[in-house]
Amino acid sequence: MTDQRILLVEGESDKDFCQQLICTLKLYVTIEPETPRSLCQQAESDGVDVLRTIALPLALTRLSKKQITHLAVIVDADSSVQGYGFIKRRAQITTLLEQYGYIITELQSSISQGEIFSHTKAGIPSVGLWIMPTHSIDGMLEDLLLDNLGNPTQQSLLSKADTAINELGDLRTFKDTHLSKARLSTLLAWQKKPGTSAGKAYQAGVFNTDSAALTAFTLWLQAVFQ
Amino acid sequence: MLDSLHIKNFRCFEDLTIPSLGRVNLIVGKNSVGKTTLLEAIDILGNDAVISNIRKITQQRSLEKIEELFNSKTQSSIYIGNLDHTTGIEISLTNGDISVRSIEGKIEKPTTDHSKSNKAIALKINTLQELFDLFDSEPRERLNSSSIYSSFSSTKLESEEFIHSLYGFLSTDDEFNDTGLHHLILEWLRIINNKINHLYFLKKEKNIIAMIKIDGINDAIPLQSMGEGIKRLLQMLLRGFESGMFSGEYGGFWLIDEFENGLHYSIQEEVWEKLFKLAKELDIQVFATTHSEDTVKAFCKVSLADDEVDGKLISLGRSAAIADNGKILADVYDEKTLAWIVQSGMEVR
Repeated sequence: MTDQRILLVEGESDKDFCQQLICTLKLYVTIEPETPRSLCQQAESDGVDVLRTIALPLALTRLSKKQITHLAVIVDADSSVQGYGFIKRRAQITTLLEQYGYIITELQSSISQGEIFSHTKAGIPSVGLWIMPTHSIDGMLEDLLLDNLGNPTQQSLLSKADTAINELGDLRTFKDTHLSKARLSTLLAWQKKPGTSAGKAYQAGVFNTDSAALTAFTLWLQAVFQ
Repeated sequence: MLDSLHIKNFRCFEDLTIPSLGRVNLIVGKNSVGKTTLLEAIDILGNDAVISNIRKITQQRSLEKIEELFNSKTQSSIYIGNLDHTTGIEISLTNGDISVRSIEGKIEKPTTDHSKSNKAIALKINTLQELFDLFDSEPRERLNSSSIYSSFSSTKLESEEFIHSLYGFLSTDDEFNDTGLHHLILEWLRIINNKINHLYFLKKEKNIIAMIKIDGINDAIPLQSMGEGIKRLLQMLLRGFESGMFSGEYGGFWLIDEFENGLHYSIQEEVWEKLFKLAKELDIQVFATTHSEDTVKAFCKVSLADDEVDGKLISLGRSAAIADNGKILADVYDEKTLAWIVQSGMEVR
């Protein structure tokens, strides 16, 4: 019987980066959703709600019958200021997992290694959870990448991007909660291949793949899917 | 129509519950998870002579002993019916005695006539063969008194002789033109080729052959020449019509095994649309199985678009919990999930 490995992500940007990482790690994983959300005409904020209320429950029922053999979930913590944040996001997902029979352990000190929850019934596969950026603090995938740049050149580029953003004044229309997206997009716009994706940038060494945070993330992915 | 399904102790089903059913139900799942067996269970429930259906199933599956119909030898009866046990049948085997009991229920049109309820037939039978011999020699009593009827469109293609006799049986008169059934057939066949304008049967030597006429071509051509898919579609439609024509007070069941056989993905949505429409017109309940992701996606789209007919996607699978011993479970996916399946492209077959 072939394994069916599923990684549930919130949206398009997370998907692209994870896809690249999965290829690099040689894990045979399908990332859901397969269809870009832009075709679905759903608002940005719907990503986690769709995951929480439809995609994840569906995945959990399939996991309990081994129609899926390995499952992991990646969501952004977002901001406590906006009513979300690491603790709340974790609670949203773990409440659902508990309803489906998963054992939710207390937050450990080793929390930034990600979590893998076992089921009360032996035989039903575990579920992995990683809340971006580092499974411990508020923020999003972009923060994980921006805080782990590969070399001083990239750092200088980022400083230039920050200066430019600060000088936008009235031209700036994006919210504070999206600042990290703006910073990362700008940084990627100025690479050797302008507009390169986060995933391709990862391959090209824009980020420090040996950093503690990125290593923790890749180790967690491998633990769930192998 | 059945609002729910409970199958207990029948073949691979230890105790299967499906809490809600629609008018059109599509069942997905891996091989050997019981998709065809589920159809067989409904076929037994929905037929006027339970025994003849049991015979058909035992022959098709090469079973020898009646015990093989039972999931567990420790349990004495099989139950097939709805969840609250108001409509169903019970097959029991105790010390070589087999009894079949029907529970007539209150679906759709309740009847105040209680004289036929809980009718039981008890017999002393040791082998399946004795059972069948007995029923062949005496007039068969109908357990459900024409309350439900089911037709089965199996994975195998029927012969053209059979299709011809089924067609003849269903036609309201001997003419091949202008019957409701004939129009319906052409409507369906045109899904595959929209220039088909006539279907008839020809006797050639000792065989009966289905012939079709196409716009712009004088000579009729054998239906066979257009491939197996179109024959399959015709067969499926005739079975649907059959269940509608003979269904009684409690409706009819149209059972379709491996819906996708012979059908290209590009026509599946249209076939589903016509099927949904026919099910409503004939007041029948459809149970179909599939292995095809295209079929699932097409079904979801049509079901979501149709406000009048309720479609349900049901996934069968074996529990991964060690303590459940591979017990088969069913999940019914709601509309929001169907919409997600269509949008996200997630595989659910």
